[in-house]
Amino acid sequence: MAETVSAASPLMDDRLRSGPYPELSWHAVIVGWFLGAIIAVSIGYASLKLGFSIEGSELAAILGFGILRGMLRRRSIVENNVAQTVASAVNGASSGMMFSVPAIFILGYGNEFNPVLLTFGCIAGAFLGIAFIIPLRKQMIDFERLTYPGGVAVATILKSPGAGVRKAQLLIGAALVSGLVHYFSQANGVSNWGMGAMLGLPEYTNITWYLSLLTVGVAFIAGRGGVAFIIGGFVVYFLIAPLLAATGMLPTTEAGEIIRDPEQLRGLLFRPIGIGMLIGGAMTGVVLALPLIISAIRSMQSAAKLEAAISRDEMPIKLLYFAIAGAAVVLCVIAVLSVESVGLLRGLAMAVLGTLWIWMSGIILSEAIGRTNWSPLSGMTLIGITLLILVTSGLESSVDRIVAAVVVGAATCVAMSQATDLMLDLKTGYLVGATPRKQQLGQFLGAWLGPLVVIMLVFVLHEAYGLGSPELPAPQGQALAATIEGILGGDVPVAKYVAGAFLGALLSAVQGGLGVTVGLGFYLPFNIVLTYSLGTLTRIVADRQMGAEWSESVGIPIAAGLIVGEALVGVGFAVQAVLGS
Amino acid sequence: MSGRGYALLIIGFLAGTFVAALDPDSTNWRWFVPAVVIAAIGVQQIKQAQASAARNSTRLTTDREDLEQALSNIVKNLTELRGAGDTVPPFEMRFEIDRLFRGDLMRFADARDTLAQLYGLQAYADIVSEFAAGERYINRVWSASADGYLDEVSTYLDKAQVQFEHALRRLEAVQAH
Repeated sequence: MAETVSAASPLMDDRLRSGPYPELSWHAVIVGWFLGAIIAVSIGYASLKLGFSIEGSELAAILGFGILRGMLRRRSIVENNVAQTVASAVNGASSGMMFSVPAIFILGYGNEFNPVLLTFGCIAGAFLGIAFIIPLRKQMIDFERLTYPGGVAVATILKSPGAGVRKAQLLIGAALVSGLVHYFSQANGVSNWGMGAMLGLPEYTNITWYLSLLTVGVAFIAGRGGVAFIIGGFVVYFLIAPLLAATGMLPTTEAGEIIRDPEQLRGLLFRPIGIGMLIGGAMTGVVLALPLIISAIRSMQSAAKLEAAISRDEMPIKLLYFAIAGAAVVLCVIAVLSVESVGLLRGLAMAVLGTLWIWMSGIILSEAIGRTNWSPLSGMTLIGITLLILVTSGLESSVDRIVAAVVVGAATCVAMSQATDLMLDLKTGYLVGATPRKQQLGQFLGAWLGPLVVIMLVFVLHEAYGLGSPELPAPQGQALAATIEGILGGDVPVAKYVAGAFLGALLSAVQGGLGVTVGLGFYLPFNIVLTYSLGTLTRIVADRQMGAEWSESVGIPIAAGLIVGEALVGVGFAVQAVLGS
Repeated sequence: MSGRGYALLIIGFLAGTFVAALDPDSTNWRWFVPAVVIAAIGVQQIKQAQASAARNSTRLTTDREDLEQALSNIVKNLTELRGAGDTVPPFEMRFEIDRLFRGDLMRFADARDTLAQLYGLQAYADIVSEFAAGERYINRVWSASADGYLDEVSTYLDKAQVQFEHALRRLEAVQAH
């Protein structure tokens, strides 16, 4: 326990302390569990109601700050960072499970699966996701120095009390503005501004602005890293869609009507190509970065042999092998037990496929979120479940196929969510000087709790309202359920995935991560890309006109405030929805 | 060469995307494959141009000087800061860090890719590992200073110095070869 230095010390300042700097403490873990459970319930409910989930790290950082500093009178930025890591690890299950598990209920098979098994599967998945991503910390954060805008924003929050009054004022001022804008846009139901329609432009050009200062803030922090993402979006809606229209090649409905609605075009044409680009781009990136990853591991091993300080900062690599092997075995057991007809060999195949997909998609998601802050989690889950349904194709009962695939798929989805969450938190940790090993332990300590909380929430809400009902539409679950039905009917856009993979691979061959970032522009709705481009442009102009130092010391606190304000109001709406129901 | 490579890549990529987006249910591979081949030729030309640019001695020399100067400055400033003892109050240490180190840390980070081109991936991994650990330790000093933890400030100043000295020694060693 730290001691306050007495007034008799030479420095004569009773704010000074001696002794160890609190980091991975029980205070941090318990506050993290408490906050994580609350955030998981709130955000989990909101995602069932609204169809999207909110990153919980900013909220966890601010609430943890209030409890640890305000109530418990503890003063340690790195302890706050661990509390926020634990809390967001608990919350990682909400985004992971709320996309996948409700689909089973919506398809009408809520009584056909074992919830205890599913929960253990998700816990195993969470551990696998963490264990797989830890060795890549050095590659993505130390070597590539990916931006992770959300991680930078959280670090700015954690450092704000020590950063000087001006930076704190900038952060709080921007948060107020952003929160007010989001409040009014949500309260009045105006999330988007259809500028294209006002100007009389064709519908497929999709000039609709997402009214979100959070998006502007994220883009500002990402800086030039986001340019390729914007290019992807503009290629789709300003070039390909008009070309298709000009050549009379826009797709038609079954009734023969031409589809001009940009969302329909995205779902039919651009999103599958984007998913393919993410996969092809990431695979190429891994192949090209493999020598560097090997060098990183060698460098860690040589540091460990010398007992260097940096080797004590990292989790022992043997422990990670053990975690990966153990979690993969548990995943195999879950797959075998998911439904009676799966059998040992098929269960083993599902576990191997699930494990490989967790590794692959963990890299894709960490790259995407590291460069732009947007995570294509739903797309990666979709591919994972498609692959798992293919493995279960020998089963006679479609109920068994769906249940087995979704149970293992939920575990992979939680794994992916944990991987990206940990990378974001590790970036924050890097910026505040936390010890990676302690953060990683914090992530393991939080990851088991989320699936327990979320599965209980799912059952309670299903009993109360029925998932998929008008009261609780669970849009993500409905989308997955519809896709699963499409897959069973043979409706998988494999050709688009493959074509996209080639295109993504070519881009990533030129520059690491390019295929993933451009693919994300194809994948995400253009209204986000448009608003994002404002933030990127602002950063480029600010860097040129005011200098990089201004962007760092003034621009980033403002951008972090924009993220925090909107996130907090978003969570406020979620809490209001919970309390009001 | 590089301009033509980029032009081919852009043409091939856009043509490939257009062909892939033509039909919701299938892809016309007969048109798609030539588009991808054009893009691939572009990639190959860009790679060749990048390799020759990497051998451009002016840029490499500038980057090499930047790397060495930035690391030397960091080590020198750390030595002075540690030697300053009680003259820099612990709460002020974070402002000194922002003043003394941020520029050089950014300068090294911006030039780091040259390490791989000049000395190979293993040297890059070893030097950047040491540098990143040192930067993280400096960031920890900043946090501990803001929170007023005296011992942590001095412990991590020492650790940061060790890491940056290791990085500098490794850099000098590979340069000597």
